[in-house]
Amino acid sequence: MKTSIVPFVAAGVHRFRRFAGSAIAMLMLSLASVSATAQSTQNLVGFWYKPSESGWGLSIQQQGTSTFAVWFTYDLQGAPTFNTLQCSFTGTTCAGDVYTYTGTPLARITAGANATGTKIGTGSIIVTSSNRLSLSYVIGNVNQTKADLEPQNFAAPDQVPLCSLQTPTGTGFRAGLSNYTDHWWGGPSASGWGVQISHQSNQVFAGWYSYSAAGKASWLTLQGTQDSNNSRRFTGTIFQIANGIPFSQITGPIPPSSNAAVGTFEFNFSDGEKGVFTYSLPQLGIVSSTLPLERFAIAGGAVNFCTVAKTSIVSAQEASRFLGQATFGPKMAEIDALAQTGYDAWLTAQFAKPQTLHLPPVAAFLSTLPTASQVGQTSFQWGIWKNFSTGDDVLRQRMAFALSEIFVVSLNSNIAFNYPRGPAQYLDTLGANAFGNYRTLLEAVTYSPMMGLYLTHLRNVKENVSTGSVPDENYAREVMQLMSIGLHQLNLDGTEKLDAVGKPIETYTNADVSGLAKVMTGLSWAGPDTSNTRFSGGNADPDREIKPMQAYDQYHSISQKQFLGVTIPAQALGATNNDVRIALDTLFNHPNVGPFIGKQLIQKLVSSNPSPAYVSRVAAAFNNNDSGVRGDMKAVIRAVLLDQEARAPASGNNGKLREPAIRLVHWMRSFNATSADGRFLLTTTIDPSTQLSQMPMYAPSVFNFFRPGYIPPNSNVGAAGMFAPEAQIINETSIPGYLNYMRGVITSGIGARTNNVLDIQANYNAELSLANNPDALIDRVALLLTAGNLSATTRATIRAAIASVNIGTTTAAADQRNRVNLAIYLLMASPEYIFQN
Amino acid sequence: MATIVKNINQSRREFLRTAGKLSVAGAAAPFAVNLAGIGAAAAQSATDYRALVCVFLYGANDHNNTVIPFDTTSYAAYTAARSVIARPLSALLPLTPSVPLTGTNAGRQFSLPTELGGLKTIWDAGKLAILANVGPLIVPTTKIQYNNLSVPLPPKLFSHNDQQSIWQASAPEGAREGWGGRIGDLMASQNASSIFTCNSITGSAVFLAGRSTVAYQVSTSGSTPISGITGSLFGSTSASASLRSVITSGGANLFTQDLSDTAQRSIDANVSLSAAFATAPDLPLPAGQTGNSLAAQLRIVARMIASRTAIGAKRQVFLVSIGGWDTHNNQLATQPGLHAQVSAALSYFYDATVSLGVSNNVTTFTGSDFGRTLTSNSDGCDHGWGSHHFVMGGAVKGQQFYGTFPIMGVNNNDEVGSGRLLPTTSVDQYAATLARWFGVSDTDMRLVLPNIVNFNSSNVGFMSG
Repeated sequence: MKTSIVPFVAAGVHRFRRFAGSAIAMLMLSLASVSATAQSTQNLVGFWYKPSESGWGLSIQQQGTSTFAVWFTYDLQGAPTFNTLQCSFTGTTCAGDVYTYTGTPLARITAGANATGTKIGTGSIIVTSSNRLSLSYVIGNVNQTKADLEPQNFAAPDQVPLCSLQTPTGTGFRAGLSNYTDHWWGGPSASGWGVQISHQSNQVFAGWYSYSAAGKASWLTLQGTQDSNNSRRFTGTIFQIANGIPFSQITGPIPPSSNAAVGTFEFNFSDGEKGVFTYSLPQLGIVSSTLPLERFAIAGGAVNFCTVAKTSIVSAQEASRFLGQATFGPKMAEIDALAQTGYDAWLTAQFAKPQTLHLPPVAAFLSTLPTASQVGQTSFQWGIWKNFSTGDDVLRQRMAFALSEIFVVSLNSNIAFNYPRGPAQYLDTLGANAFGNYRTLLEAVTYSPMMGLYLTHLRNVKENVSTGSVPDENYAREVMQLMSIGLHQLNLDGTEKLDAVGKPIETYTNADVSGLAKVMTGLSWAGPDTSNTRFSGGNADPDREIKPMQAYDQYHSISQKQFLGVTIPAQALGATNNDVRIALDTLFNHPNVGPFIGKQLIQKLVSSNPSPAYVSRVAAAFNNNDSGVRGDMKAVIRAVLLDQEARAPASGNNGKLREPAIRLVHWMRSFNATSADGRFLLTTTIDPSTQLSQMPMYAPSVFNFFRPGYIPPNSNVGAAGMFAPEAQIINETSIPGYLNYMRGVITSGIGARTNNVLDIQANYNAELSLANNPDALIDRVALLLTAGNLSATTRATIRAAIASVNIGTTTAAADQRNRVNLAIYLLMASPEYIFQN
Repeated sequence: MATIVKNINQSRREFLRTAGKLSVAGAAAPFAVNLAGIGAAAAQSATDYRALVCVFLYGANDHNNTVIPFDTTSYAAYTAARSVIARPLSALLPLTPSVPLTGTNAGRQFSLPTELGGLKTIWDAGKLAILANVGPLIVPTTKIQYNNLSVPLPPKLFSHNDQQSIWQASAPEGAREGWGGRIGDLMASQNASSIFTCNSITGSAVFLAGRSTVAYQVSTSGSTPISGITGSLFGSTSASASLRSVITSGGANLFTQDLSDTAQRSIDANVSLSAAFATAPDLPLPAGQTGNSLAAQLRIVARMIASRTAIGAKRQVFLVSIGGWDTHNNQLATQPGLHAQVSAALSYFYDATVSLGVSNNVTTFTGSDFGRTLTSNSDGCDHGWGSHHFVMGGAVKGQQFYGTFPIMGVNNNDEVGSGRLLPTTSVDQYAATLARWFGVSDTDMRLVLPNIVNFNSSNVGFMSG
C-alpha cells in the first residue's frame, strides 16, 4: 500500500492534483455512455473534495437525476459529523434538503442503525464545469458556497471508475461488477449506516458514516488494498479525525496530524452486489465484528454501473470457464482480470510471459545432496505442483502438461531413478516449444535424451547383416502413431478418409516403420566427442541428461531408407541429422498432423467430442496461421480456445472430464495454496484407491493414462457414440480414492508433514468471510470451480449441507471452517464439477 | 445381499441399459434375443462355481525368450537369430510333455527360463499347459494369403493399444465389448448380484465389458469405501447424505450420469464385498512377494473367490495384469525379472486355489499385446504377432503343448518378417476353449466370438470336461 491516502487532509493533495486533467477526460468519456434520460447531468458518482481544504468531502451517489450525497464534515464542536443532501438534478443544479441524524452507536450496530433524520437546512450541488462542482448550503445562519470541488483521484488516471446508468434487468444485475465504487449499506432492513467506497486500481478509500457513542452522526475513513490473490478482498486501516474544524469555519486544510489509525477492516465481496464488512476497533471494544454489505439502489430508477476505464468484456462466469479450459483452474483475481481484458488480450499476454522453469529448482535441490544421492524424482515432482499452481505463465504450464500427454515420457519406467534432471528439462522443452512451431517441437522431442531412453532410440544401432540385427522400431512407430500423423488418413475435419469399400486407409505400413527406424539410428548421449564409448553410455558428460542427443554417424544406417513415399538413397557415410531432418519434415508436412494434433489439443483443453467443423477450423489454423506459416502453435491454441464451439454457452455433453491431477491443482490455485517450505513438498498422487490415479509425467505407457479415442464400456456416453478419454481412469476404485483424498486435502492440506502440519495449505479467508451466508459462499466457490454452472438440485443439496452446520458463539471459527470445507468438498465431489462444460 | 441386488436393479443405469437393449433388439433382434435367452437357460443348469482369470502381459511379452527351443537344431537357429539377446542353455529348464509332440513339431524340445521355475513345477504337476503361436486372426491365414492380402487380416497389426484391444475384444481400440464381458453377459444371471460377474483388479479394460455386464474395478486393497458418506462429515450429521446424493444424483448429461452410475456401483459393491472380506481368509503373499503387484492382484482374486458364497457368485471372470514387457532394449535386464514375478504370482495363486479347494474350478490363462520379433535390434526386439501362452488350473490337461510351434528362423512360411509369427491358432479358438469349459455352449459361441465360425475347430483341447 502507498503512504496513507488522506483525501480530506492536506498531505495527499499534491498527489491527487497531478492526475486531475486526465480524470476530466475520463469523466467526459463516461458522459458519452450515459443514457438519454440522464443527458442533462454528468454522472457524478464518487468522492469530491476541495484540495485547498482537504479533510472534508462530498460523496455523491447519482442514479439518473436522483442524487444522494453524503457530506463528510465537522460539527460546531469540530467533531466529525455527516449530513445528507437528497435532491434531483434540473439542468446542472441539484437542490434539496440537508439532514443530520442520530442513530445507534457504531459499537452496538448489528443490523440497522435506527437513524432519525432532522432537516437542518437546504443545499444544492451545481455542476460548474465538467470536473468541478460547487456545494452551497443554508444551515441556520450559515450561508456558504464551497466552489471548485474536484473528483478524488488517488490512483492512475486509467483507474478512475467510469459510471454509467443502465436499466436493471432482474436481480443480480450488477453481480458481475468488479469495481466496487458505490454507496454500500446494510440493505433495506439494515439502514441508517453505510460505506461510501471509491475503488481505484488495487486501492479503496471509503467514508463510513455511523454514530458516536452518544448517538450523534459521525464518520470514519477506511483505506485498503486489494488482496493480490483475491481481487474481491480488501484489507486496510480505519482512520478517525478526532478534532476537526467546525464546517462553517473551514478555510484551509484540516491538520493531518489529527488523522489517527484506530482499527483495521476487511471488505470481502461475494460478487458485484454483495459483500461482508469485517472491522476491528479496539478503542470501542470491538475485536471483530461483521456486517453484510450491499450496493445501494435509489428506488425506481436506473442503477449505476461503475467499472474501471476498461470496460468489462466478458462476464465472471465466462472468464472462469475460459480459465478452466486454458489453465489448471482459475484464481478469483484472474477471473476479474480476464473479465476486464477479454480472451484475446489475455492470450497475447500469456504468450509473452517468461517461462517458469522446472529444471532450476531440481538442480538447486540436487546441489544440496551428496553426489551419490543425486537420484530419484522427488524434487521434480515438487516442482510440478509448484509451477503448475503458482507459475504466472499459466497457459504455458497448462500446455506443457497437455503436450506431456501426447509426447509421453513417463517416470513410471526405466528412466525414473537415474536421471533426476532429465524429466524436468523435458517438461521445460515442451513448455519452451508450446508457443513455437510444431516442427521445432517435434525435433526437440526427437532429440530429447529422455524420449531417447523412453522409446529406446537413444543408442539405436543400424542393421547388421551378419547377425541379422535390425534397428529398434520403437520410436519410429510411436512418433507416427501418437505424435504426428496417427494410424489413419484423415480429412481436415478429423474424420477418417475411407477407401472404395468404406474402410479407413492406414497411413503407414510396417515397411514404413522399418524404413523410419533406420533413420532413427545413430543418436545417443550428448558430449564433446562422438566416440563409440560415449555412444554406448561411457565417459558420461555431466549434463548429458539435459542436453539434446547428438549424432554418431558411425552407428547410423547407410542403406536406402523408404518411408511414407520418401526415399533416402544409400549413403557412403551415415548422415544422421540430415536424415532425421528429412523424416521430420515429411511427418510435419503430412496432411494428417493438423487434424490429428489439433483434435487432441481440443480434447485436452475443451471437449472430448468436438464437432468436425471445430476440428477443421483448428486444423486449418495449424496448416496456415494466416501469415502462411504451418505449425504455428500460437495460432492453434487461439483456434482451440477462441472457437465458437469452445466459447458457446456450456450445454449438454459438450465438454470433458477434468483430469484428477488437474483437479488437485485447481484446488491449489482457486484457494491460493501456499507451501510452508516454498517448494510444494508433494510427491506421488498415483495410487487409485487412496490418491488421484494420476500424476503428471507418470503414465503407465506411451499411450498416456487415457486414450483420446477411449469409450467407456457399457456407458451412457459410449451408447451415444461419444468418447470420454479421462473416464479410462475413473472407476469404482478411483472414485472413492479421489473423494477420500480430497476430503483430506481440503481439511488438512497436502504434502510433507512438519510439526504435524502439511506443507501445502489453502487460504480460505475469502470463503470464511462468507461462511455466515451460504448462498454467497456457494456463489463464490461455484464461480471458482464450475464457472458458476450448478444445477438447482445440486445447489440446494449443497446449500442444505452448509446450513446444517450451525455457527455457534464459541465455536464460530470451527463452524465457519466446516461450512467452507463442505462447500468446496461437495462441489469438487459433484459430477457437475468433474465434467467441465 | 438382497438389498444390494434391489438397489442395482432399481438404478437408473439398469433401466437405461434395459431400454438400450430394447433399442438394440430393434436393430439386431436375433442377437439380443439370443443373449437374453441363453442367460436364462444357463442359469438353470449352473450348480458349481467356475472362474476364468486372465493374466494380461501389457507391452507384449517376448515369447521367444519365454518358451525357448531346447533341441539342438532349434536352439542353434534361435541363438543365430537372436544373437546377444538369446538365453544360454544354462538358463533353461527343459520341459518333458506327457504327450510327445507330433507332426511338424515331432522331435522338438522346449524349455522355460529358470525365472519361470514356478511354472515348471506346475507343469510337472500336470496343471499347466502351453499353447504355441496363438494370435489374432479373422480367418485361418497362410503367408501367401497374408502377402497377397487375399484374406481379411486383423487391423492395425503391431500397434500396442489396438492389438491389446483385438486380443480382448476382437476389434481395435474403440471396441466396446470384450469376450470376457460377453461371457459375463451369458453367465451374470447365475450370480446373486451381477456386479461381481466381471472383475478387474487392474483398471479399465475392454476385455471385461459386455453388452449388459459392467466390469467391477477393484484395487489390491479390496473394495474402497467412500469415507464421507457415513457418519459425520465436516461437523454435520446430515452432510454425509448430501455427499451421497451429490455424487449419485445423475445430472443433466451423459457424462455426469456415467459418473453417478460408477459411484453408485462403487458404493453398492463396497457394502457387499467389505462384509464378505471381513470373514474371508487372508491368503497372505509369500515372503519376498509383497512388492509383486501381480501377486497382490491375484490375492484379491483369490479372496473374492473365497467370498463366492457370501457374494452369491457362481461364474466369475477376472482380469489381472503386469506391464513392462515392451523390451525394445535391455531385454536381458528386464524380462527375466518380469518372468520371476509372473512365476511367483501364478504359483502363489495356484496354491491359494488349492488351499481353497477350488483348483479344479479356476482356470488361469495369459494374454499379451502380441509376440515379438525373433530378430534382435541389438539388445531388444520389436513388435510381432503370434505368441506362446500358458493355461493353468486343475481342469487343464497340463504338461502338454497345444497348437503348432513355428519353424525357428526368418524368411519362412511361419513368419511375416523379422520372425514375426503368423499365428496358427487364433485367439478366438483359445478363448472358445476356455469359454466352453466355463459353460458357453457351442451354439452360443459365436455370440461371444463372432469370428469363431471361420475356424474348423473351436476347441484347442487343453481343457478337460
